[in-house]
Amino acid sequence: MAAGLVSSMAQSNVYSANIVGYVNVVFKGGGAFTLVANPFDDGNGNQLTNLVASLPNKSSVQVWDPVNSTFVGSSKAAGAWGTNFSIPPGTGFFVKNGAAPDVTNTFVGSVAVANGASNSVALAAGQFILLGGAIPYSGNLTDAYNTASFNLGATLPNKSSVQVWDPVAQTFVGTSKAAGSWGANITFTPGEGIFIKSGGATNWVQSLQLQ
Amino acid sequence: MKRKLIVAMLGMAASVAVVSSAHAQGRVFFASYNYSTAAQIVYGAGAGGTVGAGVNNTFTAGLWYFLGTTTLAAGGGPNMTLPTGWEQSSVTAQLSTAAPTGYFNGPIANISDYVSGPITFSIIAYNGTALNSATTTAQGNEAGFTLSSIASGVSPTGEFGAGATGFSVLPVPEPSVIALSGLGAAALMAMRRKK
Repeated sequence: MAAGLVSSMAQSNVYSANIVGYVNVVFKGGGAFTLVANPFDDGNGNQLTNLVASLPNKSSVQVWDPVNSTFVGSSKAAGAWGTNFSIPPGTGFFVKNGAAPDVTNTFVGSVAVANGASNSVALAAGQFILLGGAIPYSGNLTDAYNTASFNLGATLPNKSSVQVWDPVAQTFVGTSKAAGSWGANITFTPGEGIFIKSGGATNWVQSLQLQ
Repeated sequence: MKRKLIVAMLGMAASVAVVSSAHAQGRVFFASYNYSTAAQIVYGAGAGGTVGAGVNNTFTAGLWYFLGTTTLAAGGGPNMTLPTGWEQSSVTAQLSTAAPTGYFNGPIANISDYVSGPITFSIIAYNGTALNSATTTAQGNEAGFTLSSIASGVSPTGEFGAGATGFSVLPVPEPSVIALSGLGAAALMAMRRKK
């Protein structure tokens, strides 16, 4: 997974004038699932036709409906999506690549948060929600509280859990928090989807603070 | 007092069971054309199109399911009824408007009463407003196929897979055609008797 913007501003083909960038994500082939998140605002409604244009026919995506605790999905045939979902920045979703080879998808656009501003996501107690960073930060679950970073682990209270997807083993890898500590560390990368279950109502705040 | 306690405990157990079943739900992608599924719906003889060709977008696909393992033969034609013990999902999808025809690309079907274990599906298809409607001229169902389990909870939703192989829709004779056939048969019998 290659990342643009904050963590990779030095890359020669990432433009920073309007805080834009890109993230490359590999969608596993051969009928495997990959859990991803949209890291940017594409400026065009963030619809499937643009976000995951690299996916071939017979592919599918599914986004989580936290209210009904279920997935809603769409699949692609004859070059068209059954439903052309809009997937805002910071939203996680599963992808099933319809072809045997892996496909590299480039998410490109502008950071959804202006420099100096913050993004806050309300996390309800005990409710699963599928997210990703609204700002394409990398980070660790065990990092200290700092809104100018991924800032998830320190935000979540005790009895919270997080799960990321292992695309090779095709299963979740997760851990939970008790007595202020996480059972294990997880490293997050831009464009990665995360299932979060907060142990109490809280707000996940991330801010963009570029010099 | 003891009896009241037992009643109260039974009440608690019942409410827990209700909550548990309310959250039980399985899911499957309602699509016939994806990575592991290629189940084309085609015209059978007299169904209004070229035999073996994919049905057009005047057709709608629906889903029957049975909680557990069972068998069901492919069928179609007039008076299709939900087999005993089967249920019909509310999910529907229009057949494709573009090539390849005879496929549908629907949403995720939620099976609200699924808990765990095997489940048997049969895809149905009809034109007109509904199965057996006055405007339906062709309809059919796929042979039942069983999946050992389907996704629930936060697990990603799977597909029908290779068990879904496609089927033919068969003609539903209009009532007037049936009546005319009956009259014809009666006339033939009358002529025979005269001879």
